[in-house]
Amino acid sequence: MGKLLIILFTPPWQSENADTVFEFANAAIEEGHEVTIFCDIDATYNLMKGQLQPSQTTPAGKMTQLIKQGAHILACRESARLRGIDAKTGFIEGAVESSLGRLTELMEKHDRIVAFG
Amino acid sequence: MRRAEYNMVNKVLLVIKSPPYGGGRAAEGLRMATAMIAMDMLPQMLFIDDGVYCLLKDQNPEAAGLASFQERLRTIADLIGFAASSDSMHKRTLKPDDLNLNHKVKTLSLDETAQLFSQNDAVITF
Repeated sequence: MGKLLIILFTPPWQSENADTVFEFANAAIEEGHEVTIFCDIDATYNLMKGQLQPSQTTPAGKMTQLIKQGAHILACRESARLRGIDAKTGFIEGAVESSLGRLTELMEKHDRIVAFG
Repeated sequence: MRRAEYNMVNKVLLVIKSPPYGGGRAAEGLRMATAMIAMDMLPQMLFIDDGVYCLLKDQNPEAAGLASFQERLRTIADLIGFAASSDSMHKRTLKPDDLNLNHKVKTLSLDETAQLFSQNDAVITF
């Protein structure tokens, strides 16, 4: 089993990066790998709760599914603050506020890093 | 045991390909470099495409009400130095003399750039 760190920079609906990250992470988890996703800058919007879409397949919904599958989902606290997102109450359940310092620590503890953005 | 097949990431190349203004990506790359240096994990930094504009001398973004990260660039340069793609500079008619001397920029050919990529465990692009 490997440890995969995914860094996402882009927001929902402006590109397919968030969807690709979901599919990629999902496949990695199914293969038995440990997955951590760090949402930086505009990617923090992917984790905002209260997203509405008839199909329920919102980015936040997909991230929630990944959390239930065992993925670790982190959000940059400073990026959230700059965007007016309350990191303690504004994110989906299970998403954890974090920092670039913590991201650096994670880099040293993972086997592979893949960045989307 | 599959776990033993993997090696932890300890060499990271930060690639700045975004211009200094008009977006926050380049600034975020510098913020990432600062965090990594603070954690004693020294990255390498490469400027390509429009990212080479970050290194130009005589920038005055304050005149347009924009935040400057020149001091942060200089601090990071003092600690880890910068590399820039000569190909990206050539396409933008930039010469080494156009760059800020304080940034200690080493210009790299395409072959040298490729080598830099292959020397690192991970590449993060901004």
